[in-house]
Amino acid sequence: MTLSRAEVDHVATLARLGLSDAEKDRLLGELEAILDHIARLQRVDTSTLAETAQVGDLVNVLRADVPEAPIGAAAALRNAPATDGSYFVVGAIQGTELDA
Amino acid sequence: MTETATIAAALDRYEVVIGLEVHAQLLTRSKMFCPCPADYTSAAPNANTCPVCLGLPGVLPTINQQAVDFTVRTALALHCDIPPFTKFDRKNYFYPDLPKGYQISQYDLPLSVNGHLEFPVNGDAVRCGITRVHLEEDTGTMHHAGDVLQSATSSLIDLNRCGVPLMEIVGEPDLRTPEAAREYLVRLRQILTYIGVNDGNLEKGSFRCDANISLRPRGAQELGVKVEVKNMNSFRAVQRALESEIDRQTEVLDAGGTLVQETRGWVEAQGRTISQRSKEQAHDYRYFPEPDLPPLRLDAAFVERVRATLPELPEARAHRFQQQYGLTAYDAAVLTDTRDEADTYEALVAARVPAKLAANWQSGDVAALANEHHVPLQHSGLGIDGLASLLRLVDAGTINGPTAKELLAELYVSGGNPEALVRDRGLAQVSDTSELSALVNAAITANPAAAADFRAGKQQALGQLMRAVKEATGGKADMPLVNRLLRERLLGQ
Amino acid sequence: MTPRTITELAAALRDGTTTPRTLLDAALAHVDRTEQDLNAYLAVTRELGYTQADAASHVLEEHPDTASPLCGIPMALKDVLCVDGIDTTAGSKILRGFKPPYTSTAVQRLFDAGAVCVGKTNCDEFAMGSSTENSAYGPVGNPWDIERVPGGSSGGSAATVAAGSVPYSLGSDTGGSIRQPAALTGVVGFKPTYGRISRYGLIAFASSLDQIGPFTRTVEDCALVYMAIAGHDPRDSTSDPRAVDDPLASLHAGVAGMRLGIPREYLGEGTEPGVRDAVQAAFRVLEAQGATLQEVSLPSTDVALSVYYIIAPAECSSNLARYDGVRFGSRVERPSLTDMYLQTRGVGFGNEVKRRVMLGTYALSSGYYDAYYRQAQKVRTLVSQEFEAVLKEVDAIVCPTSPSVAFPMGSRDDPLSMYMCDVVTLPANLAGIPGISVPCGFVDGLPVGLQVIAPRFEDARVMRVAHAYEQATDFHAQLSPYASAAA
Repeated sequence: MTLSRAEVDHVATLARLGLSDAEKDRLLGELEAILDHIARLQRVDTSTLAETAQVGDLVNVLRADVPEAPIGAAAALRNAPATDGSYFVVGAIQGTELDA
Repeated sequence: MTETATIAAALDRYEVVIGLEVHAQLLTRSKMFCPCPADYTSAAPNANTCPVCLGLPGVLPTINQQAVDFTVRTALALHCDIPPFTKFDRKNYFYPDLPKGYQISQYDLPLSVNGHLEFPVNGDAVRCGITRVHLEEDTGTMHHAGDVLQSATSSLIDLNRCGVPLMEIVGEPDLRTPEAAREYLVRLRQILTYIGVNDGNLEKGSFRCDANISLRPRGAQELGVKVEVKNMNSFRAVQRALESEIDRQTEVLDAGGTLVQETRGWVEAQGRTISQRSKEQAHDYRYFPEPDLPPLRLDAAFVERVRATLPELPEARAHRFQQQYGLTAYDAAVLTDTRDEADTYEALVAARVPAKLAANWQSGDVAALANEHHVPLQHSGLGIDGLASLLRLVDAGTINGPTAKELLAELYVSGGNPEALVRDRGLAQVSDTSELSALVNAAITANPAAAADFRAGKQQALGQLMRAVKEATGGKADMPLVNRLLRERLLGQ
Repeated sequence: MTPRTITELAAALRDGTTTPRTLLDAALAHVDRTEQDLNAYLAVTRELGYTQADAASHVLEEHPDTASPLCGIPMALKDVLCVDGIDTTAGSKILRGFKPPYTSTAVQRLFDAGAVCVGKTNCDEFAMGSSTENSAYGPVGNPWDIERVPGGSSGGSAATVAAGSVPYSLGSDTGGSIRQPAALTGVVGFKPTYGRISRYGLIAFASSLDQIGPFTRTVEDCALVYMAIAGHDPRDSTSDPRAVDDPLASLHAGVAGMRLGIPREYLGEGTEPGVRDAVQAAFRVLEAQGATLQEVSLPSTDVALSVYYIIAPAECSSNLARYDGVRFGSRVERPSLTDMYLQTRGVGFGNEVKRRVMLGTYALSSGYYDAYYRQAQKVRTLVSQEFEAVLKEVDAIVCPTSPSVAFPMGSRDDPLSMYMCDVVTLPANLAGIPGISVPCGFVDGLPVGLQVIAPRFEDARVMRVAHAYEQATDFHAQLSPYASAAA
């Protein structure tokens, strides 16, 4: 199983992780080793098995439609790294931000 | 060529394939996955939030029961199947208005599938399939410094709207004209407001529409390149945007060019669409089942309980109005346009106002007053009971038409008891034949030229004589009776 | 003065021989003395602690009979547990300075019982690791040998109990992060049935695997803490509405007549000989107590690690997407949003976190979802089915908690070799079944843990078997050098 450097680049972009070339090179090796180990999963015959999305048998866990007081803007903004007092602030959003 | 003619010509050569996607905010009291109020419109920025909808570390979602009920109700109104098992999934992508970095939505096992919507377009019946109706959460909103995303150096984020329940209705690409697309939306919006799940407000953004449109040469099997169109904030905009796209795409195709699969935004001010981003690389949302939410098993008993909450839908109600009240198709449609209108009409009829009379007044003068004052009948000074009382006086012949109109206009604003007012002000109609005959004779004597003109065949000359009698009675004459008496006198009928 | 258990302290508080303030003073003093060596704490919550100690005093005065056994007793919380207004970092730089505006349900239940919070403990970043070497704030020393790891990811919570600073602490367990450090530090560590303890307020690593649980000196203390925090929470849709069985009711029932299974795959060649010997001696103790031991088989053990290292990274890659510098945490300022995201996360996350986020993103990505994530979720079903079948033949499973004792810091720098630490703990997380580690011996002065595993909702049974073993031995009374020195 070979992971390509291009795939590492792509996955890092999908995950919004800014990685140096050295980091990507290192990760390529580490991930390949892990994926090699994990490859044994393919040998298991799962044709009769359903997926476990959750253990247990809970279904229909619903909340009654009763509103509660919100925590308010001061509490919401308290931990914000950048705010103008009312909004969270971020920098320029380029058109390509929503790609990948 | 005119715009319509251009489109018509294009439609001769190309088949237009349109599919619509509607996102409708649900009228629940709390948000989809947290108990914050769902109505965020009057809150200060970021005030309508809690740790859950802020996506803080450690929080967990909880499913709003009413949102599920509303979605199933919608699905049933659209003739969808409700599969016995459904679940939520995470749709993963990064954007500042999406705090968790994923949206809780539904991917492969939505709440409902396989419905349809039927509606007339220019008298023809059109049927559009509904692929699915599913449930998800809304995102926050952003303001871009300078208002244009592409050139803004910073953006401001408000998370008040984050987490509001959103129902997504995906239509099959069965629509073939921009007009059909518009009618689909009109009918869909009508149904959603009828069943009480959405307020149908496009301007406010509680009812949003995106379109997918492609063209293929007539007779071709393969679908053409699909373009997504967004940012249409009214039904008119939808129709115009789609017409504009047909124009644009036809031009490219006629010249032998190829279209780009992309997303385009409608720019109302310029009357055209502008490319927003290329869809060549489809987003990798890395969907997987939401581990924080157990799945839903909706059994037949549950579905029937929800079905029982469905009111009579507009089409069925209009049809019944025709049958039960003898109304024309047109009148029935007008009176069932909204559930409030239909309920008002039936309340009037139940209050002993004759069907046709109630129909004429409600869709005529009452509608005009409601428009003028921006207040529906129920909240006016008169109210439904007051109107019923007024119309019964008309039906009994106690007051004439013009008097009723004046009273209606006055009471709509100020309120009051019609019967008492008629009595106290002596507004009762003059309909005594001998009294009116005397006045008719006097009017003929006083207006010999008009009388002669009428005898000679000029129909409109009667008006002058009618007005004379009306004045003589202070406006209270039974005018249809006056008309009859005048004709008898003048023509000897 | 040896470190006392919750039970002993509860009695002392009621007979007047000590007060909550005195206990807190002693705990804080001990932490101050040992922190240089252990680095077990990321925040010491003096002010909060004294407020709580004073409140607890009132409660003990007014209602000594109905006050919780935990009232007035100091404890510590793994720094993945949100506490209103208190720095909560998850062991990461990306959450430096973050003060949650709310408190985790499990923690609030402790606070409501009158617990006294000494501080937030150090852990592997976002609970990812088996040695606490992945903390962005330095590693934690094992009180038995500070050059060695205490295990992870709840290393700080384990170490502070093993050092005798506090009688109990809370940790979290996703693949073994309570049980394994408990084994390596010679204390009791319990992971409940998935859904037994609310996850609301636990900074999520892998949503379908994470559970909160206690570190204590004895199994009885473990039962007390468990009862204070277990039970349905409407804020956690995965928390189970079934009534909680009180483990104290059956704690002393013993193991006579019980059938205990030893999975042959759990004592494979990766197990250190000293660990094997200690655990096998434990099996004989259980037999002497009247249990019947038999070998059982869990063939999927070989692939369970692979299942875990797809599912956990996949879920974590999604759970950690919210750390984007927009609403909380540290941010690397850049003119463009994309660059801000990239740099904030590139700098703010450590290597192990980045590794797992990459792995998880890859496993969920288009073209790989079926082969990795979907396949892993199917094999997960197989793991659960095997446990279910075995736990019909036997009442509980007994085995080692960790294949090795505490290893020197820096000695496992290959990710896969670190992952192997959890090879016999993570299957219980995959199946959502309860498990405990109790001290069962030493190898060259380093603790060994015995693990007991039972079916879903048989948390009381786990503690019953563990208690029977514990009471028949004195390993739980052995004190680390830091605890012996406690005054």
